[in-house]
Amino acid sequence: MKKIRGFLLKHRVNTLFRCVLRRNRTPRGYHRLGSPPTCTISKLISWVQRLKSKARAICCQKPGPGYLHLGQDPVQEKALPVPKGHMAVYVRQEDGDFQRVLVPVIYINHPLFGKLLREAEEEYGYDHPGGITIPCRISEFESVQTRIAAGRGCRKTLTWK
Amino acid sequence: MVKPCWKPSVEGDGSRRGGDGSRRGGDPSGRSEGLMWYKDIGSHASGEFSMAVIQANNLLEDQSQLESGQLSSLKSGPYGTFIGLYDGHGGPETSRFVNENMFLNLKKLASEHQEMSANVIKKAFLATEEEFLSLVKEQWLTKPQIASVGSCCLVGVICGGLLYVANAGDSRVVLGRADRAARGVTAIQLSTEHNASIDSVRDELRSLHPHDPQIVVLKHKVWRVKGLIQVSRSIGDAYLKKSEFNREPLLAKFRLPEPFSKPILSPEPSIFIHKLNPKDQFLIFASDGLWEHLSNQEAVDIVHSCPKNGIARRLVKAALRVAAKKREMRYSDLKKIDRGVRRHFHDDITVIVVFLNLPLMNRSSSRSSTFSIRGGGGIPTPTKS
Repeated sequence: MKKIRGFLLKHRVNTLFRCVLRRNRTPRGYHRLGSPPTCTISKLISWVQRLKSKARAICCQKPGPGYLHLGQDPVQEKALPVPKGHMAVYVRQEDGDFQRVLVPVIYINHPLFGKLLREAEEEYGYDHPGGITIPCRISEFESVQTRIAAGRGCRKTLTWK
Repeated sequence: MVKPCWKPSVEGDGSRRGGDGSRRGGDPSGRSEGLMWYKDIGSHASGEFSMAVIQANNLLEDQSQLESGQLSSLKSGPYGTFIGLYDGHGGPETSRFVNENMFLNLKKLASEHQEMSANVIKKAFLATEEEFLSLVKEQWLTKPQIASVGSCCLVGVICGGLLYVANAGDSRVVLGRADRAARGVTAIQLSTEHNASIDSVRDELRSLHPHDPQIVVLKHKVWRVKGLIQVSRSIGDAYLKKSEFNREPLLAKFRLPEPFSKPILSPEPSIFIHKLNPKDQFLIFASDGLWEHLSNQEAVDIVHSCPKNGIARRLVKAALRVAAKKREMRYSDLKKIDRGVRRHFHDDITVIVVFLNLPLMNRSSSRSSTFSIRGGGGIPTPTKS
């Protein structure tokens, strides 16, 4: 899972720098003929503001502490926004705790995931409170995710229906 | 709570034709959209109604019907509205069977007794149960799994200024009654539920089976009768009614270690008779799938504060929004989940909102028309491509 979260974060950071740098690059060193010279201080201020708002966006997207203790009701937690197209799933860790993992929603319909869900149903029934909880080990869960992702041929599968 | 009302009035309803009440809100037999079926508005003997069904199971296990007109085969006989909501479990066979036979049995019995009464409704339940158990007997050797299929049954009959509510299982009907003092509408639950999660239901089971310490068992933090089923009353579930259906070739997980002489589950409904009052505005009939996400008052507030047209669909959507939030995802993403897998997010949900118009109820001129509709449109399992 680290891999996927790392990927998401990297993606965000890249977007941030691309946005900030791209805007700043063009007018460097010269002014277009006829355009009034812009004040460097105001430019700097707007740059800082952009940086601030982007940084805030990244912080808000962060999936929080990453795991919950058993018995802690995930719904009662202050709702952590889940990115569009994703849902939170709780997977058992080596120490018996549960790790909160963000999974693309379309993976849930995959037959490999269906097998995990059947195990979840046998263990917890359908009506357990909070997020979907998978009783398998995190390593097994990751391998299922990798296999689903591989089967799709590429990572950009979010538009698939 | 009022949030769902801010959304634009229900979409996909452009072909409203006006005039004939049964045709308002599009197709008279309802419409389907993905896993949702709905009839946004229609007319019954004493007002209007709205229906919606969302499928979660691989095969839709919820069935429902609304019948308006003669409630017996006699012309002079009782006239009114019949609402049936059947929440199946273990498969769709029982709820489909009840949907086909309950109203027919009621009509037959009402003709025999020349009246509508609690006794007639109870007999209709028992007759439907008996017919289904004979079907199980017929199919036992070829299809033993039919013995493990059952259905909760909620029936409402509006007739002669009275509302009869008969319930076996855990569906629920809630009345919305105008409350001038609170300037709103109060929710009054009219049905008695038979789910082992309720203390009195467990007590009843223990007193009926004093020698069985395992009559109710806590499993997955949920109370279950014999560790198998949450409801204590149902139609079907032959494997917990007669010992002869609790043996091979039935799947081992349904078989009890010892034979039983007394039925464990009962088909007998709890019946409540309510005299309708001008303050009584509407009834919300729904399977437990709705009530696990919305409280009685939340549902009543939505119906009170939103347009009638499409109100059942709005209630289903409100429940799905809660379900999505519980599973830590967005409502828009929940819609991408296929049937079957959906069961991990919510149950099949059926909602029938029946508006009550007492003056209309007393008018004899409206007695000419009959109207009948089935939840899901009577189409077997809408498939998703």
